[in-house]
Amino acid sequence: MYDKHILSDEGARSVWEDGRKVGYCVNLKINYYRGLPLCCVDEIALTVDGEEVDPETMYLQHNGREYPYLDILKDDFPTDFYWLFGEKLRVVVKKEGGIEQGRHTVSVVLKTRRSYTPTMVAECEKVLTFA
Amino acid sequence: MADIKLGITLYSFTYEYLTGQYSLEDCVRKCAELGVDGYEIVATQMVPSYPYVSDEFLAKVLEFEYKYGVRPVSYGANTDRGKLFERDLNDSELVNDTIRDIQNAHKLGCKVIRAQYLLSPENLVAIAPYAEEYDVKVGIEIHNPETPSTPVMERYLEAIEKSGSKHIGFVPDLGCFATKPNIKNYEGALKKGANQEMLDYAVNLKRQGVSRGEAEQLLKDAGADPFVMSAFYDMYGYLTFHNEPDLEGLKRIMPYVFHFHGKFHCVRDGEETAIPYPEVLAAIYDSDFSGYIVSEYEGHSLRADGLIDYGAVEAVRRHLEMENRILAELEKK
Repeated sequence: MYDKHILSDEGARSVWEDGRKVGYCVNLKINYYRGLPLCCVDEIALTVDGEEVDPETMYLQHNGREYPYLDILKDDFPTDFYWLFGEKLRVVVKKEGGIEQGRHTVSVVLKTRRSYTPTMVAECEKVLTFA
Repeated sequence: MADIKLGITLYSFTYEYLTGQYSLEDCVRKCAELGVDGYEIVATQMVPSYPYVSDEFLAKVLEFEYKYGVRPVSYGANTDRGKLFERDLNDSELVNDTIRDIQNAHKLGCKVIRAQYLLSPENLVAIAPYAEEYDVKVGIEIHNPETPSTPVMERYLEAIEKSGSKHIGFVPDLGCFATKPNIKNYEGALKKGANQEMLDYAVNLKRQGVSRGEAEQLLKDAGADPFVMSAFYDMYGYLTFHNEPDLEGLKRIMPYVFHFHGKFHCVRDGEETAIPYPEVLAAIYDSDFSGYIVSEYEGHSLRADGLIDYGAVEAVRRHLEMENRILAELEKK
């Protein structure tokens, strides 16, 4: 039931800094009936217009903070930052020039680790309109 | 005779909350409109400041109580054993997390916590002094495929009895008394294209007590389709059913039960399609139970699957109506 909701229709856009486009972002919702600590994310794999996004260029914005995506996969990432149910987790892809305004096909694979069930894999593909 | 109050777990509104149709305030207002005065909140689902309860959130909860006359009575806790990548949390870490949940529940004014079986019997006993100090009762949820008499629950019962504490016990989920295949499981499988004869064969294997491994082989040999197999795995797992509800087991643990999850998927023609509510409520009615049965709607996907044509509010309304009717009949006897 959660798969088709993990990719939000809202807030897909280029990210601007000092008058330049330095990247773009999409918003994800958790693939579970409740929140989990961010450290329970096992993988976020993003594909835009058929091209896989390099994980090294991905950053997560949560509760006013930004983390390199690869940092949250590390063993020492804090366990108390909860990605809440229904809350949008913003994934920023750093890319000079951002993304062209308009429609793009985005697909995401989201894997989250649970305490009493195996890692759950959710997949979603949508055409999103980027601002 | 029992003192039974009816409430709702906000988990029932999961789909509406996820899709932004309902805010927390909407969920609470719906509880009032449905005629209950208490709700359960799953902390990891609807408390924005989780793992803590902020003063700001508490203020909201109090404001909603003032506006709608509905308050939180139970706190749904999760035992996040798998937070670390390289190892499971150890006992003292799990106990620490549970103590924090007890403090959260206390802050919200909840007298009951629904805990999960990942909190071991030993750890449940270890948190009893904190439960007593904060006057919050912590109950282990009995969820399918467990029933009150399964070995796991026997171990809890032994530990609880030995501890002598009145603040630890059980929260049975009425889904554990199911006597029929679940609507999603059976009708959902048919809708997807399962072969009915084969599906009935799977149901009968479960009814005859054939072991999971043996039944799996028999079905595969008979050429069961993937929809039947998927339904079959559920029948032997989280959506299992039994020929007889374990009401004897329930009677034995009743002194340690202070809260129920009124699980349901679908109430049709005044009956839950899988769980024998008249028998189960009669057993509770005849006990010394004092507390809430909170309606827990778990048919979030039934509408999208085309099995029903209404949402969570109507589902819960039907459930409460059924419970009220059964309780009124018991009253007359």
